[in-house]
Amino acid sequence: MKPCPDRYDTILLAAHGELSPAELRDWERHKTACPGCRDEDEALLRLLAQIKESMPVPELSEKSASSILWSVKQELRKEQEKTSWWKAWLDRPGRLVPALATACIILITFGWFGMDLIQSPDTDRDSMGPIAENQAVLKDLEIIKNIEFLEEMDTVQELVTVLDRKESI
Amino acid sequence: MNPQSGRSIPIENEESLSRVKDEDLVIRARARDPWAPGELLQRYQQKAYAIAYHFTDGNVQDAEDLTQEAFLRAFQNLENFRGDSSFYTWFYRILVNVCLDGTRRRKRWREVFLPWQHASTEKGLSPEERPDPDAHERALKSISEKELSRDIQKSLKSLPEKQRVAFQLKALHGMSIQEIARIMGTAEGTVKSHLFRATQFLREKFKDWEEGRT
Repeated sequence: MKPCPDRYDTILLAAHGELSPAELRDWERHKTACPGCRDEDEALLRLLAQIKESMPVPELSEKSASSILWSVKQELRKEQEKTSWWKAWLDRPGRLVPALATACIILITFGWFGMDLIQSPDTDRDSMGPIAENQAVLKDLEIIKNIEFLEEMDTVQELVTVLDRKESI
Repeated sequence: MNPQSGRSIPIENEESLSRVKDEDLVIRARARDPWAPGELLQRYQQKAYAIAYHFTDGNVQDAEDLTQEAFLRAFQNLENFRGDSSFYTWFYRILVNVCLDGTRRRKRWREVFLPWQHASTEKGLSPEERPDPDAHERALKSISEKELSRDIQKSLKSLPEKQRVAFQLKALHGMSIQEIARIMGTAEGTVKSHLFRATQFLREKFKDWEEGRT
């Protein structure tokens, strides 16, 4: 005999123990009146019991259990050690003071020498003194004034070189 | 108590330790209390192993490895446990994911090294291959039961992954549909649907066996 088609979900839920007490009472009442549903319910329960029986689980041995526990604890410890060195630094700001002080000293030292190197081209003029400096400025001004004349001199010199070359040929 | 705070709870002796709630142990574990993870592990390792054992088709070594991996992953991610669900639901979710990853890995491995894998299973690693001490006396019954057991395992294996997970957690580990839904991260209706399909498939598959019995 076949079960009622509209009761198939109930059969499955009942077999898996998922009916509410009220639903269960209703289902039990129906089963007494319906042999098809009763047979299907019993068959399904037998099948589920057989499935459970045919797939037993061996107990996890004490040795394996403690081995798992040991391995997990070891791994966690390793990880803690790996991450804790930088966390320790950040957790204690006091430890950062010497590092920061060293960094500042390095910056100041290199900064000082660096500035010194940048300023070095001017140091010759600084060491000349005020009179020598004035003389150098006057010399520069004279060159600027006669720059056109100097350029003409260059052209004349080039012409002489060309003529000399022609004569020699 | 705020589970995010990481404040530790004083525990006087071993006896009171067994009464400590999972959530308190999680707080202690977060606060780097060395025995809290151990206590959580001892509480759930048998059941976790049983689940892993069924996922690995009865391979003891693989089941132990997966159990260990699941616990390790859980403890590494304790900061992500917000306490919305119970610790064991959260942990079983991790376990099922680890088992599914492991199963997929093994499947790929088998595909690549099929001949070697075949040889190793022939050596008797699966439970149905192990010698039965009572086989001598109840030979016929034993053979039919073993065949049935093998058929059941084969049929379970042939189920789609989600149907198999839902069915195993329900039928073999007695979890409720609500718990399975949380573990699988799906709606209860979806779990019911997976469960029904799997049960119907197995019912159809073993109709002959049932008719033979009656």
